[in-house]
Amino acid sequence: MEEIREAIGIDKATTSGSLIFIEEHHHSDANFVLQAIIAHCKEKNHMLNLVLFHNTFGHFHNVGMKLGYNLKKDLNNTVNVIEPLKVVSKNIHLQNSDNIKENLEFDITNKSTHLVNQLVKIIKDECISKAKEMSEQKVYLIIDDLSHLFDVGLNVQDIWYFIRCIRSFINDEPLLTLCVTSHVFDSSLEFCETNIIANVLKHSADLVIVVRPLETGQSREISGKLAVYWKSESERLRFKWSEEMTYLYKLHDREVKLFAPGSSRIM
Amino acid sequence: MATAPNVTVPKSQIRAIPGTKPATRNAQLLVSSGIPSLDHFIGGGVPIGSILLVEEDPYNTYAKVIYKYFIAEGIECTHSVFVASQDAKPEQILKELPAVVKEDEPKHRPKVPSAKDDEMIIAWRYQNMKIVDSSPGDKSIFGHYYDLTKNISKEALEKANITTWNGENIQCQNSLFENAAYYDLLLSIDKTIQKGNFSISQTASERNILRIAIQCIGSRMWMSDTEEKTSKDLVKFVYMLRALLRESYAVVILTIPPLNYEETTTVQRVEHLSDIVVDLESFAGSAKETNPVFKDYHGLLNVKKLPAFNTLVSQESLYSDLAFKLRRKKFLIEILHLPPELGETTQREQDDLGCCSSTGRGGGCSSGSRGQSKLDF
Repeated sequence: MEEIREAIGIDKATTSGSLIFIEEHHHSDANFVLQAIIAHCKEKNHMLNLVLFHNTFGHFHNVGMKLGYNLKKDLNNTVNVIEPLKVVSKNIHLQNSDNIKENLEFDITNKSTHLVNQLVKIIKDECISKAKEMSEQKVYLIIDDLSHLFDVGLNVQDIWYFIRCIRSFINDEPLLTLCVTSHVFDSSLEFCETNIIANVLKHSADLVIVVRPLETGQSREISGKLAVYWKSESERLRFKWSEEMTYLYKLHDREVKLFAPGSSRIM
Repeated sequence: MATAPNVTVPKSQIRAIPGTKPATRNAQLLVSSGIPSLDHFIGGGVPIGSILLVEEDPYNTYAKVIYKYFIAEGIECTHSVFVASQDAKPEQILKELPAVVKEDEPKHRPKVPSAKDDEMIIAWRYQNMKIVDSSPGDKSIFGHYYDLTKNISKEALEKANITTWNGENIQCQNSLFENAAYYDLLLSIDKTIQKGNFSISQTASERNILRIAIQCIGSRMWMSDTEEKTSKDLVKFVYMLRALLRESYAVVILTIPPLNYEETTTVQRVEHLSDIVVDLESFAGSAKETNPVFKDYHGLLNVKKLPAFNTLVSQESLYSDLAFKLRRKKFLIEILHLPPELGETTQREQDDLGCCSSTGRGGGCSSGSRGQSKLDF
């Protein structure tokens, strides 16, 4: 994971108060970038808040064990997790039982704006308030993946409102780094809501990481393409980074190898 | 994912769930799809807690076969089965399930030649060459073989724990979906999970697997008032189903007609929510039907997505070109091989013609002299 951290530059540049956006194209999996950011947090002992719409916490823990860190050990201490998947499942159980009136923390039967408010409140209570208690510590808030909010019935306006709310946390908490993943689809077919939100986030993010599959088909040697864009000119000049850095990557069970485009030599 | 709850059970008391095997890569429990060759190409089997999405061929001939194999395998392995369909009666689907072939050793497996018996004298260079088996199946006993000409016995159906859902008599009130059928199906699945102790939070003396088979989800029978609402309902349903599955000992097969959503990103969104995606491209009604290259097959099979549970990398697809054929008795998935050019094919005839015209009079650029050639120069 060292290579990925070096490539995206989070081990050198200052990320506090910034937004990192990971754009995951269809037929690719950006989970390895998230794992690299988590590995960085664990190494530097930063506080980690995970909002998991796509994978379970068990998945992140098991991958973490392979990579050399234990997330469960620090659960509810420096690692906080919100799993909407679990709440959705609990919702369905309750609909089948007699306890329908029980108050749910994240009820997707609610109207969309109320749902967003609920979600923001949970994140604020679970993560931001705990971060304030540890005032000197850097905090990462990771949202994986935002496109699933469309799946539960929200529209562009609702999600834009959600983004504005979570962006406001950066103002409250200057040591906070916001990291958002979103899946995008081949939008040549129609007006695609997820792609609109991804474009907005790309525009406003300080660091954009794009994970794409190979355009030319499959390869045994390469899993896909990784592109890194640092918006901040001062950071780019400081570390002599170009505006766009493109790599090829190969996923392995316990590591990710990076290659320069057109070469097979490990960077 | 379906990981065991925090209850310490002595190792001697842990019983293997019938019809399952652990994956060597990530210790994930796998079940067979009912087609051993498909299991091989999707990384050994279908992981517990995952969704297997089958994108139907235009006439739904072959997706239906995969769907039936999946249910039949569940019944053979004494798993609980949940069959849901609005397009066909679930009872009818159950009656038409293929019967298992009761054999110790399947006939089609290639016999491993012993060095002494088959010693080559003339073509001795080929002696040590690896035998190419174009229908690679898992060599261990995992998954069964079925005979499509015979139907499952009534006794087997009566013994099995089967729940059916046909979308009739929907009475539940909901504000979640435009089409109440989705909500009713979701509640029925949850009820079955709770009733059969398939949830990971429930403790059961003996664990079993629930196989959920949903046919033609999102077809015309699942329509709402508008196409947009239909898509929203479908995606929401699959997301909620995914949430249920991650908390239970269950596997799902979903078949979807992609032609209904050709001009939207709906199928891509369902693919993103699924764990394994298999696309069936039938030759029926296409130019490939008469193409001599594909004469041995009925269609192509594309494995679009493989699961990545508890690991960074999904099982790599070993072969990118797969084809399937439906024989009288069985459905086979093989690596696509071009047929040997034994006879005089059209290609060969064209080459000969071209050769004649170029070596013939006038250098072959005049079409008037030879009436058969369509070339003008």
